Amino acid sequence: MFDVALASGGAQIALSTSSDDSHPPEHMIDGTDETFWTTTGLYPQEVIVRFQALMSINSVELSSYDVQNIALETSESDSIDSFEPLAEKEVERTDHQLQTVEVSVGERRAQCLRIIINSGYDHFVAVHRLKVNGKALHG
Amino acid sequence: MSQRPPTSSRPTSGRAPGTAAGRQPGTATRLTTAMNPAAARPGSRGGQVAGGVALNSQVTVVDRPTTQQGLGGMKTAKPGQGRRQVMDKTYFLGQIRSKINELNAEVVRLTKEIENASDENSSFLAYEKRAEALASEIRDLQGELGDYNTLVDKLTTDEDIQDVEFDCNNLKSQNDRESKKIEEMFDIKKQKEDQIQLLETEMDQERRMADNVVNDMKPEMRQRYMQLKDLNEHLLRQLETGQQELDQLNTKTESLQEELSQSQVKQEAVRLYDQLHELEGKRSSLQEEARMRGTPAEERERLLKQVKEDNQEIASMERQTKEQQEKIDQMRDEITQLDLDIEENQGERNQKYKELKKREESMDEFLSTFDENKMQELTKISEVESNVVTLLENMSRNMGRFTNLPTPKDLMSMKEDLEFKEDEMKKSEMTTIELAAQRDKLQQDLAKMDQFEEKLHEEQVILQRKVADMEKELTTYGDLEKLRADAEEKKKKLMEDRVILQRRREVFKRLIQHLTIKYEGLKTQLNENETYTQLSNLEKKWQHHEQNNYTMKEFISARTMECDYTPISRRVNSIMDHFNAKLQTHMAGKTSY
Repeated sequence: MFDVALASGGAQIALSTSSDDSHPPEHMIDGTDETFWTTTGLYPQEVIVRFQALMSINSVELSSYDVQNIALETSESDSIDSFEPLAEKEVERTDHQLQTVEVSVGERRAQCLRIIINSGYDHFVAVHRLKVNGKALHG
Repeated sequence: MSQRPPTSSRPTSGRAPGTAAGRQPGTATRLTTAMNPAAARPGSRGGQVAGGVALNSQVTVVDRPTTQQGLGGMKTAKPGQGRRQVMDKTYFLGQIRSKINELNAEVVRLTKEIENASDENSSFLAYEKRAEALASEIRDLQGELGDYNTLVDKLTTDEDIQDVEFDCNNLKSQNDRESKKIEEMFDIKKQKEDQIQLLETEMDQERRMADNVVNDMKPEMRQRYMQLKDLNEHLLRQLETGQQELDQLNTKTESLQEELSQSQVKQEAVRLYDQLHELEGKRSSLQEEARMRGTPAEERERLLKQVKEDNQEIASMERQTKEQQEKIDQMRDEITQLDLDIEENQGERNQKYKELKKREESMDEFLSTFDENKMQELTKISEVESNVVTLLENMSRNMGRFTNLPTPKDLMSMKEDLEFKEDEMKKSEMTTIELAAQRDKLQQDLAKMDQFEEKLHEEQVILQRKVADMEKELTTYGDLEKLRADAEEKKKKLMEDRVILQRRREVFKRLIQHLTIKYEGLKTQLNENETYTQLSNLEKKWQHHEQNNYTMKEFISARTMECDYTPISRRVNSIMDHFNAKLQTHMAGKTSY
């Protein structure tokens, strides 16, 4: 069981609706809390992470600021047409402290993970780190 | 019949004494016929009068030339002329019948009216009931309408259903509270009623006890008690009636006073009444006095006594006054004597004293103002001295000059010199003016130069900074290798970015396609929606109207601008003023010539 959503582990950002030069979406999967991805516009915002191969994931962890409602979808294929909803979660207000969102999903096969931020407590939200616990499926 | 003898004699009394009864046999017979109905109905007076009228009219026609009596008595009868002359029983019967018929008809009419009224009354009741029912219905509907209105309000102001529910809950809780309150009040009322009932039963018990006591009393006592009870009741009743009467009288006085205050005449009357009361009181007092007065003799005695007393008193008073007068005279004499003495003693001394006093005053004044005067004089002296010195100086100078006064020739030449010098001076003045103007100009130039200098300084600073920057850049650009490496790195990174972004672009494209398909679907759905088409149509209409409105507004403003004459009038006024001023100056110039 290890973090499959790491740029060093082959994960990529396939899509993100916001991209700032100093805070690109790659900062989510660089394995550190120091850097972050920030949204630059209205909600909803979404980002799609593509794993290196088909994975079996158990839980998704997110360190963020001011996220209110978050939805997760997964897809077993490479294409973005066949996403299936995984979970939706209302995050409590933390008064501008670092939030830790944890969603455990049992066991799910996925190659792409789509994170949709439906609303936030402020005009902008920041995601510092995305951590997906899982393991690669072989065969 | 026997009670009315004058009726039979009346014709004769009405007839003139000079006319003989034999002359009018016809009238006499007719009189009897006329009398007949009267005999039949003694109570009816009208018939007889009518008969008399008829008789009289007959008389006037025939007797006119011979009668000497006044026409007045006969004329009164004239209105009866032209009616039916013979009024017998049948005529009156007919009259009565017709009247009865009329009465019957009237009665029938009245009964019908009454019926109608009763019908209307009953229907009125029914209508009233219906009106009440309709009024209540209207009230209900109005309530409903109010509800709907509030609902529409809420809808138009985009209030949430939550707000409405919140309001509803609020109202419900208020209602509950109020109903609880009402229940509490009802409970209290019940308690009070119970209390009242308890008290009433107690009162009954007490009454019964009192009755028992009365029953146990001795017969005499009981009788006495009963009598007192009756008396009490009677007095109570009297008190009540008296109170009522008092109230009535009070209201009456109030109303009367109001009336009184409203009319001036009545106030005047009240005033007169007051006067009357006063005068009556005076009169009664006078009457009392008069009554007190006894017989003349006693009166005289009394008066004499009084006179005597008065005389005595007067005499004593006179004596006193005489004494006082004498005393006063004496005192006066004394005073004059004393005055004379004083004058004799003090005549000369007084004069001297006065003179001395005057002198002292003048001296005092002099002394008090001496310092001031001295100062003034001293200053004056110093001024005069300085004046003298200057004058002396002047004189000595002039004396010196006098010795070498110029010859007339010299004077002429000097005058010429003076003219020349004055010219020179004028020229110099001109030059000074010119020079001042030049100086101003130069000063302005100087200010400009100062500004320029500041600017130059700023520019210099900027340039220096630029130089520093450039120097720094020079060092960076000196190391070409590093620059190249940097560029390479950047290029590499950009290439990587390009790859990533291209990949991302693909994904985005797909996503966008996805979303466009969704959007198209929604759009078609929307277009199919009837309300949307209606709304869009209405929006178009609205736009059109807005445009129309705008153009109309533009038009109106343009028109108002066109119609606005104030600038023109202002211009005309200013021109007029200008012209007037010019005229005035022109005229003034003319008159001065």
